[in-house]
Amino acid sequence: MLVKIHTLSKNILQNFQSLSLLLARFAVAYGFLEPALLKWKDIGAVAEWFDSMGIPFPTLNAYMAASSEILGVVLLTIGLFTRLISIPLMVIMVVAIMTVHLVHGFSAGDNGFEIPLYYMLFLFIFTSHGAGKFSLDYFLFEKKTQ
Amino acid sequence: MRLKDFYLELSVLLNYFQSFSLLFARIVLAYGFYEPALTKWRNFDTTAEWFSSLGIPLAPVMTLLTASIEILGVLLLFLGLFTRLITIPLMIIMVIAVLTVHISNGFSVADNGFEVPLYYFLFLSILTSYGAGEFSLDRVIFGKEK
Repeated sequence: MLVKIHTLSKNILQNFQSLSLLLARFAVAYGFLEPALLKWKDIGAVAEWFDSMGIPFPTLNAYMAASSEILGVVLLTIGLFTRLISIPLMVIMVVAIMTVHLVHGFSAGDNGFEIPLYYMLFLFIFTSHGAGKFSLDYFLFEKKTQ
Repeated sequence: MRLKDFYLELSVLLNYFQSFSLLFARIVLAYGFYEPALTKWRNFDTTAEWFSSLGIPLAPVMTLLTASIEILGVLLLFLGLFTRLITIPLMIIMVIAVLTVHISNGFSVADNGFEVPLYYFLFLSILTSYGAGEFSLDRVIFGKEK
């Protein structure tokens, strides 16, 4: 009985894999849009801020973070090189947690590491599962062409 | 097609992390539901009044239902048992939470917007379509998928 329910629900729900990844990609892309635009508007201030947190090569790293984020927005939306771009974005999230959020605890209400942790998890899921069928990755790399 | 070969090789490598990412997502969600669930059980009457003030019909029954699903969700997500079955009612709870509480506050978590329940909904939709992964009781009881 339980096995039957499990198999039935599995067979139905597996059809939603690509849809769930698509929606999650959109949400993460949207989430990175504002921080990315903010960094590009005043990259000098970001470099100073990075420097004040003890991040080495603040100007270089400010450009790297801002570039990865804006690239992330575009690539996650269209699902191109999804597994690749997720990796630097995960690194950015880890650095953000370590340098900014960790001291504030968990809760998002206190600027804790809750939200960057969720982003890191989404990105970890993207890097290990890929972008799903609704993506350029699928059409360019995974779809059987023959 | 060097790029295609590279991407496929990378995919094979990163696929090994699928079950880890699902395990982390399950643990984080279980942790996330832990406090709301306990709060509902501890302040049952207050929660029922709150539900009723939000215009939810049969408030005490719904409170009992929500609190039960959430505490069950904590346990089952942690163990990876009946993962697909428990994620569906939890997704419904998230939709209702967004509609009744959060949507009028906009997106950002800073304004108590629908950001966090949206992320929970997306994590749950990934778990409901992909299942709990290798590190779960579902796998022990029901065997390998596909």
